[in-house]
Amino acid sequence: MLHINCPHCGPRPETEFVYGGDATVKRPDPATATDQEWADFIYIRDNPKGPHRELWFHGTGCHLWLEVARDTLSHVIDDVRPAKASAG
Amino acid sequence: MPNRVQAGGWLIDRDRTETFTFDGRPVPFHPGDTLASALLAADQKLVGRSFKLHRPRGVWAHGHAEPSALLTLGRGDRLTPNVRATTTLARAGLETASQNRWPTLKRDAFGLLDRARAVLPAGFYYKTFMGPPGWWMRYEPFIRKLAGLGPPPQLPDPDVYAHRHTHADVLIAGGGPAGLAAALVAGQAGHDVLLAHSGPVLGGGLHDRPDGAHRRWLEETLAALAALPNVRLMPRTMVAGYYEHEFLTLNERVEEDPDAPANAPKERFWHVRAGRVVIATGGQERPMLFADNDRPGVMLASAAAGFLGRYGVLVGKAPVIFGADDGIYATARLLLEAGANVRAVVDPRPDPGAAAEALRADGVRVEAGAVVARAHGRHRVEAAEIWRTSLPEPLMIESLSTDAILSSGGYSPNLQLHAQARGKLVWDDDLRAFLPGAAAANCRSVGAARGAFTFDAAIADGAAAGADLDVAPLVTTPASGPAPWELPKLASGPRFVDLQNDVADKDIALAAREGYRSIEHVKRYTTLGMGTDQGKVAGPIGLALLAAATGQEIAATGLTTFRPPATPITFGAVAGGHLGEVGHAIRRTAADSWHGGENARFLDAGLWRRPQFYPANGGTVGEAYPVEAGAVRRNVGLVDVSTLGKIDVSGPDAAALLDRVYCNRLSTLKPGRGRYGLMLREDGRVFDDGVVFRLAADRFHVTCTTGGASAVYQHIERALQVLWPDLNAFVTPVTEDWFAAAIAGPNARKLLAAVAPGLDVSNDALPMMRLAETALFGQRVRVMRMSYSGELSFELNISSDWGLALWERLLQAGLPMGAKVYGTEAMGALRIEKGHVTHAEADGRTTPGDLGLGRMVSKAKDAIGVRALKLGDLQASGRKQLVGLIAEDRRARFPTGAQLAAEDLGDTPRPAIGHVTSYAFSTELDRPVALALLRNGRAMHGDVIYAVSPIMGQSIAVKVTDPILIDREGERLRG
Repeated sequence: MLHINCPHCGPRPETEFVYGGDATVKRPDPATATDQEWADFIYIRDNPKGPHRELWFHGTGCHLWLEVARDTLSHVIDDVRPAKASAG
Repeated sequence: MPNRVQAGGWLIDRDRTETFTFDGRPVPFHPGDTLASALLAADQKLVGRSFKLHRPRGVWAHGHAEPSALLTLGRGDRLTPNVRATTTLARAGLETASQNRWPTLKRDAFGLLDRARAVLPAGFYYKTFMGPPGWWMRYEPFIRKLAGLGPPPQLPDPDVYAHRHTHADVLIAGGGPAGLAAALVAGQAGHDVLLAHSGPVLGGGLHDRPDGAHRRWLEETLAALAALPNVRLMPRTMVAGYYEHEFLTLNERVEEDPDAPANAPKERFWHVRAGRVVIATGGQERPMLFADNDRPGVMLASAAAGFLGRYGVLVGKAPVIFGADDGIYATARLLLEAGANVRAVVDPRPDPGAAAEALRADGVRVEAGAVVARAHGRHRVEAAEIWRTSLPEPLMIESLSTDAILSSGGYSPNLQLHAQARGKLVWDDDLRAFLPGAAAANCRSVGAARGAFTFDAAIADGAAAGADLDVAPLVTTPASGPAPWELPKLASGPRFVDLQNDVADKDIALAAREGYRSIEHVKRYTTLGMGTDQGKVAGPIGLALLAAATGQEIAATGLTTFRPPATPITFGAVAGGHLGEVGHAIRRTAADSWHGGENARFLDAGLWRRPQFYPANGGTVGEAYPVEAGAVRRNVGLVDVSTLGKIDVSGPDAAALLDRVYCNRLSTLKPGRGRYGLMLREDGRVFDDGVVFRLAADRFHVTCTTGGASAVYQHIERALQVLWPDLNAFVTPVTEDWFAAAIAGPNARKLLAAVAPGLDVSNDALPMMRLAETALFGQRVRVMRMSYSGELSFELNISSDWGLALWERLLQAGLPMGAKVYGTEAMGALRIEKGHVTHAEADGRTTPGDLGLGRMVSKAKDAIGVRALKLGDLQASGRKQLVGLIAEDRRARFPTGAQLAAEDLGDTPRPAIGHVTSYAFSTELDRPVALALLRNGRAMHGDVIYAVSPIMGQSIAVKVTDPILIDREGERLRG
């Protein structure tokens, strides 16, 4: 069970969080994106072995959406920040 | 106790003798004995029958790896099957029974199966019981009766199991020399140390020496540890699972603790978050392979030493010892000194060296360059067939009478925890074993668990780990004799690799011949390692045999995946106290006590319990809901709708945020008014729906479905925090803050006027989708005119604290008018008649267009899911569309899970053109009706098709219609 260091609440077990997918996928501009680009945005995800940035929602904690840098192989988490801060 | 001797016995209290029963007969034991040691002391060699072939089996090992000595403990509601006799303490009065035999252990009717062994090879069931179609169902119960372990308990377990959570700087798994050394050093350094040891007494292999060597070190170390308050020692506690970030689970068998209070739980399941982990779980001896190596009396050499040292039990008075390293000479000497007449030590090495010579000099027969090729005897070993292998042609030299054949084929480290933590495994050619390689977690393996099999090496290794020093290189001596899997097959008879599942070497060879290469496939095909011992002994040997049979390297063949728990634990421990209502959290609305008091029948909706119907309106659900729905259509009904999700969205950009999460526009809503909103997933499928009221310019009251409440909240937060963080808004889930009741029906206005005398309830003051406020009990009440049933309807919200009061006020005013309370079943029937969708229709595959809601989608703005609707497949023809269905025959019943077909059921399969999503009996149409998703359904209104269930053999004719079955113009709800 992962231990995620929430910047608001401190280290908490994975059971308090909900996984939210790949944080590196950004929503294209719907006005200019082609059908192919939009389909890729909706459906196509990498499955990286190693460093990964992903979204987690602290559902039974502070309700922040977090961006977590997790190595999918070692599970080492070396960065957790509010997604809001990251998106800006 | 004929086999009890004076030597050893470090773990037993010889001054006391008690008894338990085995198959009804009393077995004496000393406190500290395991069931296995007591049975062996009583000379009970035969203790069970094997899984598949019903071969007689005895105690074979002396720890967790035991494959054969599995017993059923207790009876009735305290029955526990498949308990390892070698790890379970004997207790006075305990009832134990042998397994998989009928009628008795000695005269087992199914023992004949062993004679049929030749026709029961690997994959036998797969190959034999293939047809005719459906016949497996007939074979299976019989096969299950033949093959198996103990009977499952039939009654609820009355015992209590507890869960505990804790933390530790250093968690040490294993209390043998390495683990204790690590605990002492880490504890003296001030760390918070937790040491879990699976056995009842700390020390592990240190108790195996009947001569007491190493006991001084053990006593001094335990005394030093006892003086450290920061060290917690937990015997009887097995580390079961190792998960991410040093989260581990431990199983503590409290019932074996003689000092536990009477009200203590039977077992405790610990959840531990550790800073770092030291794995000191020891090693496992491997057996040598020879024919009929499963006879009771054939055992691991380490088990003989263990039973002698720990319990003072001599497993054989005249043993033969068979192995290919110097360890067997030390074992022979221990047995000799304890009074055994060692018949021979058999060593395949032609020149075994000094240890062998020394033993020979003491008058013990040593057969060098020889092997035990076969065990003789049936219910117990009677002789060992010895062959000389150092000659050009192997030659049988003697069938030597004996009562125990003790074999040793070297050791393998116990890798379970290291492998569970995804550590690498490395094949070592010197030790001919897999060793723990690079760890993938903050752990290190020490002592025998990494191949340091001697006492001194284990202590040094453990101490270094306790101090968190660098790992010292492992010094190993290359094995000089053959490994178990390298022994030639010289005599007839099965050479079992996996005793518990009756898998012999030839089964693995057969699997290889039939084309299996992967160890994972061979495991499943032959059942190698699939028993309750999880292949702790069988795994390494089976893998080496597969490598040899397929010409692969052992290192390349690899081991099967190690999964928690490291050793089987009870379901009781895993479940803990999470049983019944405790295991299933129940959310109750503010009026729940009234529903319960009125004996509503409840149905779960997520965690909520919601009234399904009220038996006062009819005894069964089928009788009650038409009465309840009829009251709504013709008079007035009351329903508790508190479970529907409610979310408060506020802030300067609240309207802009909602415009982006709903596919229709909400920013144009005026304060005090409401609008139906449709929320899509980014892939264009309908996600959720509900009515949104604008409370003020910068504040909205969002409602959503009961089941979708938490996902919708999360979705809106994601839009705000991740997608459009520049928006200035606040999202707050407020479902629990409000009690909500709906009053619906032609007389709803009259009822509302009765409970809210100060409110102007006229159609002009309170038209459809309008919000008004009033006060009751000094509390603010929101009155929202909206309709789910299709009738004139109002929803009243009040602070949850006053929910029951409001509900009772509504009843007080309504019941004299003939109002009826209604539940979810009537609500469902009402909404089906009106063609309103729920998640049965918005099932994650349907778009707004599919559901006939395409016109709701605003083309003038971007919102989640709108762009995707332009993708080709979502625009294509041939999609399933929402339709209504009306049964042709009023007495018909829609089959459960019905598919739609253009023709009636016949002899040949017909393509499904759609499926029924929800159905009910319509009191308005006096017919069964349904909503359905039908391919190109909107073009089929008026057609007669069939709702069929080929599985049930049921079919009814139905007419396709518009999904709105009654009051298409909505005159009732606007009236």
